[in-house]
Amino acid sequence: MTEERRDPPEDGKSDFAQRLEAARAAIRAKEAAPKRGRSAYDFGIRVATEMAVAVAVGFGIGWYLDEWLGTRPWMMLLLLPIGAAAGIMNVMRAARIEAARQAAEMRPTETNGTNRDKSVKR
Amino acid sequence: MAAQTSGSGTELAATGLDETGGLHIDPMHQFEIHSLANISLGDLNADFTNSSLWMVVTVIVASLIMLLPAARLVPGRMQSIAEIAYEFVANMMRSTIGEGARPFFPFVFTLFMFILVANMLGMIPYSFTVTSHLSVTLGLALAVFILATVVGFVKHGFGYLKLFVPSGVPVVLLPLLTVIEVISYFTRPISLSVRLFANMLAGHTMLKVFGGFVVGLGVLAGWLPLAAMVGITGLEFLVSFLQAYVFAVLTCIYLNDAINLHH
Repeated sequence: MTEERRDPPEDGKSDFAQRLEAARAAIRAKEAAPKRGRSAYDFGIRVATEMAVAVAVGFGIGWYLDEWLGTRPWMMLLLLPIGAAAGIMNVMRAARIEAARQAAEMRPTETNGTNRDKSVKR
Repeated sequence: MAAQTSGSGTELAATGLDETGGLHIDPMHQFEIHSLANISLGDLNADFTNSSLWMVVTVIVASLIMLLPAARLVPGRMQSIAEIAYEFVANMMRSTIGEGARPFFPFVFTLFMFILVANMLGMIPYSFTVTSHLSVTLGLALAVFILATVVGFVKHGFGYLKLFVPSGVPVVLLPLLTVIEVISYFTRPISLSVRLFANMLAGHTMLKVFGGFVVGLGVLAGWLPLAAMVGITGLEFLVSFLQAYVFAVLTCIYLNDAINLHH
């Protein structure tokens, strides 16, 4: 995309400086564009552990609070569902980030008008 | 787990036969830690174990991959690996954190390479998988957790606590949601470490169990589990890479929360 910029300099900049600038801008644009092609597998593993661990952590905190305050089993019963809620919230948050990332990935291809249907199905 | 108490028991386990001459398969044997050199710092047991040895090997191999190749304009194989690794992590950090990511690149890159190389070395038969122990992965995860928390407080002061207070919710629900947010914050190091450790532990145990099937079923029927082994081995290489990647990505996400202060 830098080939057409071969005409002699007019604004005081040398031909080389102009082309260098164009090439750098192209690299910046390429780097700014999000990368695609990650599997859903890693996301699946992430979300699954997120859910399980949050419940376990809620249980654990409740258990130790009971030990400390001598209120067995009430803190455990209170914190177990809160842990589960934290897990669900973590999963939803991760899914939202992932959805935003995928939407950002879809944008450049959507301008072609061909990938629209695919993006909706995913 | 499944620790052999008698010295002869471990030797026999290594040969695959137990006292009665039957097949003895111990898939957890590979995870046992034994001391190679006794070191103690005061009351602290700081033995140099087989795990320590493989950590040293991991660091050496990772360093060789990154440092050894001569920097040529047209890269050779080894230089390509180093460059791809660098660009992979750099792009990942740029897309998750943005421009503020620069100072943390060495940390995330070291973490990624250490876990990746440790996982890959673990795929070599008779090697030891460092990342299959919770103590190792929890150590790494706590480093991430502490760094992210410190960075958050340094950058935003007590404003970092706003991370725990969700915006735009009814006042009645606010205390409950804050408690949930705090719990989910402290879940981070645990889910980070358990994910890596559980994946490596499960994968390597499965490899050994299927290996036991191959030996147990012999020449007649052993081919079926052997074929499954080939597939599982490929899957394990994928998991080795993915777990290193997931660890690095989540480190970036946590650092992003700390640097840019938003979910």
